[in-house]
Amino acid sequence: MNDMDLAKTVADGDRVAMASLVEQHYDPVFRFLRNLTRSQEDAEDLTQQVFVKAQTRIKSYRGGSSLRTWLHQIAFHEFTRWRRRRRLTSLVGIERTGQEPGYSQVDEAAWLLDALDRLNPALKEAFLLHEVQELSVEEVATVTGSPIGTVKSRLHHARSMLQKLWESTHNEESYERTATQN
Amino acid sequence: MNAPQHRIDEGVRALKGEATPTAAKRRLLDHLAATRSPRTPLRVVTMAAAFAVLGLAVPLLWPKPALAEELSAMLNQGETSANRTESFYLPDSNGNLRLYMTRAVLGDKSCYRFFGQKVAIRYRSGARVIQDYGNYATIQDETSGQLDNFNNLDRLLSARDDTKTNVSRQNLGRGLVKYTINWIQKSVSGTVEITGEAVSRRPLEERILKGPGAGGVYVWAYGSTRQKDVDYVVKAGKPLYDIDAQRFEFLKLADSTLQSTVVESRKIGLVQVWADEDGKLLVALDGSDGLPEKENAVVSVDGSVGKAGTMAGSPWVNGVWGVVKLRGRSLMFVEAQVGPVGDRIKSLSVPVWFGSGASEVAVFHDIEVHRTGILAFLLAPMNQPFWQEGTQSESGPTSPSR
Repeated sequence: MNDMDLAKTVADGDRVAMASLVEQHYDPVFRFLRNLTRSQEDAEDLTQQVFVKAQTRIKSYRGGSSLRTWLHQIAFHEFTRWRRRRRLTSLVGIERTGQEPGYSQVDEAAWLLDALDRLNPALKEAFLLHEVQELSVEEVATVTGSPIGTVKSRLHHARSMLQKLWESTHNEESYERTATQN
Repeated sequence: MNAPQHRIDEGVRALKGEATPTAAKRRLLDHLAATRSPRTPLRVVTMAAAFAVLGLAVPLLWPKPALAEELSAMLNQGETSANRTESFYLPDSNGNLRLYMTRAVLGDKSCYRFFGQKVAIRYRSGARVIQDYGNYATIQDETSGQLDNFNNLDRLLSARDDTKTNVSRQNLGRGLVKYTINWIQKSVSGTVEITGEAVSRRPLEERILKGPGAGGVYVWAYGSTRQKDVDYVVKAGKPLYDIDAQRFEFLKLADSTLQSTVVESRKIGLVQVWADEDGKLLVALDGSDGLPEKENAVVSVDGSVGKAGTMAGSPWVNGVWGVVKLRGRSLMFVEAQVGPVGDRIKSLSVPVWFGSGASEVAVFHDIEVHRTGILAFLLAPMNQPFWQEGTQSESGPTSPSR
């Protein structure tokens, strides 16, 4: 069944179709939001909101993009709202504790997320969508509402800055090792 | 490839392989199963209520009445001494079948497991339903809870009476028969195969070949359910919430005001406060005429700030109700994630709005807290307030038993 048929079936209130939609797309949407928020709990909440919104808005889906892109678009919107709320709650002094340490059990993943957090958010978002979520440049542009050229530029800058960050970290580690040995 | 690029690519690969939370996905599916589009016809609502617990396979049995009797007989065979286990598998994104739900049936008792996690349900004389969520349980009238509709195929058929269906029958030999059901509804179509025993009429397997849930398989196994599979005892000390009685109480409380305060020369009444097992708090106020859509709307309980709903929309999910007409009053409901609270709250701060102006805060002291399992289940079954669309009479349950 193609995306449009699935969307129509979900719109008709079919529970199996909705479960199928969740089964197909929950994991990537959740990963995307967890990598953006760096919080398991918030990512779970946001992912739930994404699918509930998807269920209520599915009638408006016209097939202009894949369901995957469409869901990422909703997810990105939810994330930007979440980020705005966090800024506001931060302003009134009720910010929650920061990132949950250690949800990523793999060193490489943790390093990359830490490095991405040091980039401009727009670079991080484009990088995650393209590299991790495997969306095309055009799809990233759709999700973020940015021109294709801007997305390409952000992807290039993201890679380039990550490379610099790795080199500086690597140089510091080499220096520390050398200093220790001496 | 140079070292930095390699390190970045390794990180990307690692991120793609990060585990995802099965329990959260299950909760989402449960939520969605009980949620409906506002424009869904009432008969679909009824059907969805029945299937909220039954899982997702049953609605796929859509034969027209021509074969309904035969299939009904198949499903009902030996029901007086029912002993079967039903398993429903759905394909994941890689096409591998994953067990979504099992249902063990023994007599009139059933036990469900979603993604392997037990949700026990027991039917007592067909009147009330107990549902266990692990750390608490609920009980409610069958009419307002989940129905055991599996053997009432006619109800399914009436809910799908606009489905154009073509059914063919094939003898497979060795006493087996297979029905192939092609259906079409509007622009969506599908094909389902049901295989069963020709003489005993027992179904053995349903395969969804095309259409929604394609690749899904529902399997019946007979004689394998043991008494202990369906036994259910509410443990001493485990909260058991009587949903019908609590709805009755909710409506009764809506008639009065616990206490009042004055904000910006306006009288604000605190009507009732409910907490649930998920750490959510619902506050009903009288006198505020705005909607809690502000980004920084927060509820504070004994000095601890909770995360309030921030979007207009589904109260089921967001807990944002705005102003609700209830028992002739216009009450503002605010829901917030505040964590565990005791039976009384010493100090409660709630945002209120006047017209389109900025929010103010109303503060109340020493407040009684009512408890329930999940606020959304209590107040908005099927994502619809229980006092609307006749889902619950304002006269209360037929047999309050709390």
